[in-house]
Parts: sequence; structure tokens; C-alpha cells
Amino acid sequence: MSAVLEGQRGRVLNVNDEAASRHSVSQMLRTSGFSVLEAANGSQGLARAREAPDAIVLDVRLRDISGYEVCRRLKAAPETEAIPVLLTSAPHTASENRVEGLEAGADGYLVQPFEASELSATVGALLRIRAAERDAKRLAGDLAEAVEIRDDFMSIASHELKTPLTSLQLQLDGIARLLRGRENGSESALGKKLATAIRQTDRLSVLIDDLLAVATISQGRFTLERSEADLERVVTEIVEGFQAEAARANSTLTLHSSGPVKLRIDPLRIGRVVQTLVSNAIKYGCERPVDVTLSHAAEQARIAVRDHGIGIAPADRKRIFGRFERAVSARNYGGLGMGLYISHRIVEAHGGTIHVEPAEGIGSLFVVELPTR
Amino acid sequence: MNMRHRQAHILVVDDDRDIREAVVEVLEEEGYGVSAAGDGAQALRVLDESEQQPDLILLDLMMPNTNGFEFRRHQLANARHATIPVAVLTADGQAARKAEELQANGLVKKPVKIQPLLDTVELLVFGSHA
Ligand SMILES: Nc1ncnc2c1ncn2[C@@H]1O[C@H](COP(=O)(O)OP(=O)(O)OP(=O)(O)O)[C@@H](O)[C@H]1O
Ligand SMILES: [Mg+2]
Repeated sequence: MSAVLEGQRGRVLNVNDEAASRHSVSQMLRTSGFSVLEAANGSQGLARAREAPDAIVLDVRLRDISGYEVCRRLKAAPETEAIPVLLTSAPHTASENRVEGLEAGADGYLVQPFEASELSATVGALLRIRAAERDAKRLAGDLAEAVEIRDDFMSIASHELKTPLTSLQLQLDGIARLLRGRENGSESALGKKLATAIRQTDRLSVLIDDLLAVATISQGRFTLERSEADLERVVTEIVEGFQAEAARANSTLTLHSSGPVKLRIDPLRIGRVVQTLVSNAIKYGCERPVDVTLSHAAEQARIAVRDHGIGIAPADRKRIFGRFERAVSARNYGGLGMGLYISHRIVEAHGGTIHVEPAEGIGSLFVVELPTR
Repeated sequence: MNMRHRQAHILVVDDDRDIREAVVEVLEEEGYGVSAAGDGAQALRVLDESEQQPDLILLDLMMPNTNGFEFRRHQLANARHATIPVAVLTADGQAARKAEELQANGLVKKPVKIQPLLDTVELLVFGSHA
């Protein structure tokens, strides 16, 4: 046939209890470039499979143990399950038998008579599939390891970043308290600079929290700390905290609320969601008014954040909730794309939903719905 | 300054000197009596040597020598110290879980600002806000 060297393409175990047929298959395999191990019955086949051949050609008509059963056992044993098995059988084998073979875990099926080229091509294909599977597994393993390293790193980094930040915040806060004791202290040039420094450290603090949240989510360790809380109070506090920032962005921020909403939620986390939506509405809001509306029905509480800014293309409305996903150019707007991803997870963990609704006119409308029980 | 703080005493345990000093200063300004320790072993020594037991221990977790977990184990094993309430003061990402594991009475997550810190301390020492 060809000039391939025997054994160059790998080692094949040939299991067949009819000597003549076994020899002919072995011969075909050798001329196709495989080296051959032989087994003259099923139990011998099972024993020699532990010598780790690259593939097994297994005849179904064995007198001691049927080929199907041998195949099942090979596939059930951890040390042999990965070896591809090609079943071979007598002429005119019914399709049920082939199905049985494949269900026993066989990777291929050839009916006699077959030619050397067919056998060679089939075994070759099985080996290629196995090699690809091995590569994929290795890559998946490498990837999982890389992700784990990254997540561990983010957890540790966030701890390390928080320590100096704690110091910094306590100092700034301490200065602010000293200054407040003085007449016009907060209004002075020093007071203004200090307010900026505090605002920026707050930003840093949020970023660190986000990094940690992303790591915790991908480690599957994200949990809520629920308590009885008033959603109106949570939303009000965030909105009030953003008034200064809205003013700096030449925007106005208004809360419309119909009263207290008592819920069992993680108030810090839900506060984080509102913070994300409001800060985005200001950031992407083109200096136009932002409205936050809190309402509730029997089954559901609803927070809507409406802006009149750059808006979001319909094609991006789902995607932006993915990790690090952004729908704006980094040349125009800085950001890491963590806010909505984390918010989505937080709301989901509460059994609620978050989505973008088509807004009338320009801008965006984000809606969070939380179950009331 | 609030008079009823005069009797209350807090032990601050944190290995980061800047944080420790800032917390001590804030509490002193607020009228608390404060002692401080830079790790768990020092804190145990403070407990052993002081006549008046603190009303609250603010406890960092990750510290050299004797960490917060080890300190808490020793504290709980000593009948004289076991009942002193502990608030965990940590930058750990799993702060709530660790506080629970330690059977802590309170939790202050770093970074922390002065007012929330004082609120937590007051709540744990007096059982309510002033
Ligand atoms: N109100 C909005 N109007 C228009 N686009 C928005 C709005 N809110 C979010 N987006 C889009 O969704 C993307 C993801 O938002 P997300 O808050 O998760 O991250 P980010 O704002 O890019 O960065 P950061 O992590 O700093 O918040 C944004 O990059 C932006 O493209
Ligand atoms: Mg954002």
C-alpha cells in the first residue's frame, strides 16, 4: 500500500477470537502504519487494554464475553474509558446491533468485509478526535486554573487595597470632623478640597468592592446578607448621596416614591444596584434630568431609573449585563463594565429581574423588579 | 462629649498602626477609655493585666503572630474573658461568614468611616444609639 512505517501512527489492540480474521485485521493495521497488540478473546482484550493502546479494534462476536459487554466495561473503567473503540462485526449486521454497539460506548462501527484503507481511515479519524478531545480538556484545565488564579488574586488584592484605604478614609474623615468644628470650615477652600478627596476615595472604595464582588461571583461564593429593610430608605439614601454629583454633571436627580416598602433584602447590595443605575444615568445622561421612581404592588417592588442621554441600541440591551461588557467606546467613557454585571447577579439572587426597557424619546430606562415575598 | 461613655472601655486590636491609632483617637475623642494591641498575643496580655475588663473588643482578623481567630479561641477558653463582646474589624471579602464563624457580636467592614464605626460601637456597648 504505502510507505508509512509500521507503528508510526500509534498502537492498536486488536481483539478477535477467530484467528484468520484477527490476522487479516492485524495485517491491515500494520500496513497502515500502526503497531498491533493482539487478544484472542474478551477477557484477554480487557487485560491488554491496560497496556494503554491508542485505539482498540473489537470484534462483537466473542465467545467468552460479548464485544458489546467488553466495550461497556472498557468505557466504565477510568484507566481505559478514554481509549477509542472501533467495533467490527459480521456482514449484514442489522442496524439495531450497530445501535447497541454505539450505546455500549463504542466510538465507531465497521461491518465486514472492509478494506485496509477503510479501516485505516476510520482508526485514524478516531485518533484525531481523541487528540482533539485531549487538547480541549487540557485547555479547559489550563483555563480553569488561570481563572482560579485570577479570582484568588482579586480577593487578595482587594483585601490589600482596603487596608491603606481604611487608613486614608479615617484620616480624611478625621480632618473633616476637625474642620466642621470651625466656623465656615466646610465652606473654606480647604473644606472643598477635602470634600473632593473624600469623594475620590469613595470611588476607589466602590471599585475595590466591585473587583471583589466579581471574584466572589465567579468563585461561586456570592451570598446575600438579608434583613428586614425599607426599600424607600435604601433608595433615598443613594439618591441623596448622588445629588452633589448630579449637580456637578449639570443634571438634576429626582426621586418619586409612593412610600415605604418593607422587604427582606440585602440592603447594602440593593443599594449598590441603585447606585450603579443612578451613576450610569448621570454618566451617560448628557447633563439632562434623571428620574428615579419607586413603586410597589402586592407581589412586586419596582425601581425605575430614567435618563435622557445617549441611550442603548436594542442589540446591546442584553449584552451590557455581562461581565466587563460595555456598549460605549473607551475613548469616550472610562469604566470597567462591572456595575451592571454585579447588579444583575444581586437582583437575580433576590429572585428579581433587571432589564432595559425601550424608552420613549431619547435616553434609557432601567427597571429593577423585586418580589415582595 | 457624651458623659455615659466615661465608664465604657474599648480594646482595639489591629496590626496596622495607622488604622489602630486613628480608631483609638476617634474613640477617645468620643469619650471612651481605650487600650490598643498590635496582635492577638498582645491583646491577650492586655486582658490579663488590666483590672477593668473592656466592654468591647474591636478585632482585626489578619495579624502576624497571633491572628484574630487564634485570639478569639483563647478568649473563649478563658472564663474571665469569654463574655466580653467582640466586633470583627476586617477587610476580608468574606467578612460576614468569618464573623459568624468567630461567633462575633458585631462586624465592621473595612474600609470604614468614623460615624458608622461609632454607631456600631455604641450599639454593642450600650445596646442602642444615643
Ligand atoms: N444609562 C445608560 N445609558 C446608556 N448606556 C448605558 C447606561 N447604563 C449602562 N450603559 C451601557 O452599559 C455598559 C455597562 O455598564 P456598567 O455600569 O456595567 O459599566 P461601565 O459604566 O462601563 O463601567 P463601570 O464598571 O465603571 O460602571 C456601559 O459601558 C454602557 O455602554
Ligand atoms: Mg457604570
